[in-house]
Amino acid sequence: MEPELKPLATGIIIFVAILGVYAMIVISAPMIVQDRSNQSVGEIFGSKVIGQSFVATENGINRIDVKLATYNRMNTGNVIFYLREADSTEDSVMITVQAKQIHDNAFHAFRFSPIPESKKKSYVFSIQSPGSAPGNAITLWYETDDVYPGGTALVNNTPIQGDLCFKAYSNASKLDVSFFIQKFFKDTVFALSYIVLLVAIVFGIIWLQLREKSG
Amino acid sequence: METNNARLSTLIKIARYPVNFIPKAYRQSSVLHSLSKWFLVGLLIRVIFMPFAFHGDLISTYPRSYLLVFDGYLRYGNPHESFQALTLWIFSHVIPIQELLVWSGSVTVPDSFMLSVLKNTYIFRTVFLLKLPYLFFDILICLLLLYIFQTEVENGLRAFKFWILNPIIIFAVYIFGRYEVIPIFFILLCIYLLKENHLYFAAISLGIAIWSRYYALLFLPLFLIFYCRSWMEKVKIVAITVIPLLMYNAITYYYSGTSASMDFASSQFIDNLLGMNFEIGWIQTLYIFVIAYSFILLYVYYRKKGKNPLGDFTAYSLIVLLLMYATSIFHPQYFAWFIPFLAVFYGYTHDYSLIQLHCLQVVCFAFFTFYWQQALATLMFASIHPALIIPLPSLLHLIDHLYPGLTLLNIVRSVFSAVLLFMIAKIVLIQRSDPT
Repeated sequence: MEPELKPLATGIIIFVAILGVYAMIVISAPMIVQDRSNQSVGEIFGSKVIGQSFVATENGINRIDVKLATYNRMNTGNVIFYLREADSTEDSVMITVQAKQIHDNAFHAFRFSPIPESKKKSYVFSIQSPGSAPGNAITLWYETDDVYPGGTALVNNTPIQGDLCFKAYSNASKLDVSFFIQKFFKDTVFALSYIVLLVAIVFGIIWLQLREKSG
Repeated sequence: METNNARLSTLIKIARYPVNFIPKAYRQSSVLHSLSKWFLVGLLIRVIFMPFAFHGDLISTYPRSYLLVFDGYLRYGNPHESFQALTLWIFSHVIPIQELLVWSGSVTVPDSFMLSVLKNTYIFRTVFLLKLPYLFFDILICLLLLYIFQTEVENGLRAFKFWILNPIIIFAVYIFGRYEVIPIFFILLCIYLLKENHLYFAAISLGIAIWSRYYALLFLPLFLIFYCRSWMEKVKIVAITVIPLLMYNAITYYYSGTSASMDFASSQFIDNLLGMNFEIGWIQTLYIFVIAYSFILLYVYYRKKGKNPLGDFTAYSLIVLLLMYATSIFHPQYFAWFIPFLAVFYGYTHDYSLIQLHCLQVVCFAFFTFYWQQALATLMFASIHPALIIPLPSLLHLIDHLYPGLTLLNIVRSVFSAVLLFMIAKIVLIQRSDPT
């Protein structure tokens, strides 16, 4: 490599590395984040069902993280996670985890197969632990203020004020370039002139490179 | 068939027309190919960034040029503001760019206005066109570099490639979107005129550079030391150098009752230079940059003069700037100031270690920009997709998850200063071993 190219190569490596970091952040970013909480919903056992409604902002919803707590003890029952469309009585997802696998005051990820046409649809997820008993049950973190406008917390399927602490993810590519392409081509005259200019420069470089090689 | 050949020949003549502007020594086929290829590579990188990246400063400096050209505010008649004003005047007749420049702030652009700018349909076209005068001066700088090495083709090509492919210039001018190439052009013009022994014109050119950016004033004492033999000549050069700034201040004083440069002594630039200091007791403070700068001036005044005053002027101007970066707070775009000197010095010396050190500087500089958080990273590209990019965290914030971000940046900043100081030592050694 010619010495004068090395600072440029260094600059390009740094630029690409920073771009990569941001691409990772964008790709792994949740579509909904409600991370505020100020109290727990109390122990979940028997027929008690705690849920949260929300509206998916992307297609391909595939993961919901819920902030759970164990009261700093090892609980032994099973915890069941359900997901259904808000206007349906049938669950699309049911996941069972052992309560002993749950960490205290941490988000637990419930992963499932992506739901393709989820965008703009209302969903409800709920958590139940019928086999648990007082003193041997987990709980969920909850924010008493209504901080998430797209839905609400539910106790035994009845809406209450406030929201559970949760994050929802989708597998939709957040690096979607369609917004940029639409914006760029709105100014058609500039977009076309710019592309022609780029093509002309690239053509010039290739032509000169070929001439240089052929001597 | 003959008509086609005639057309082709006319096209080739038109395409080759810019060749008339470069020095004759570079018109030889193989040199010309190499020159053209690297020029196009540099141009391609510049053009790629031109419409899609800019700092809020681009939108906050152009309104001053807007006020100059459309409302007659002579206070905004600096060289860079005047050239920007000319750009606005030319483009205002064919495209709707003024609407993006009318806002009611005085220094910084309000967030609400910035958001409306980012969402504007014509934002890419506007930013591209606003940077065109910078590209114009950038190309003039390329030409000047070739003229400085008019007969030394190898050296000239080296300096040219260093400039056209330099990531700091690409960042400062085409990503950040600052006018640094305008004062740089006048400084390089000064160097070229010095080479041609046109001392008075060189002094005027330096004067215009000072008028545009005060930092150029740092080179005036070096000009006097290396090029003026008698005190009378020194007085003449100082007088000629300050003429542009004096005239400008006289005009602004006549029209508005205040001089445009009255705030120089209390400007942030001076505060930054005096930033590294320590108190020695009572009410006395020592300023590190002032001590080191004075030391350099005394050193060059008393050392044996080399056979190449241009090489000396370039080398010690470069040293002064490196010293400034090493010991003072500086805005990221200021880092472009030393690139033309390094290009010329590297062209003369061919010292590969300068390139290695410069690569280290590029790495440190990238970290250095993290101090400005989102403003110098994500937000510069926000026009591409505001809703996606604006909420992204800063790199400093991300580093904070692993290690205290500010501590890490300060460690890198210290290494950065060490690299800058080492380059000074390297340049002094090169100058001592090879005074030509």
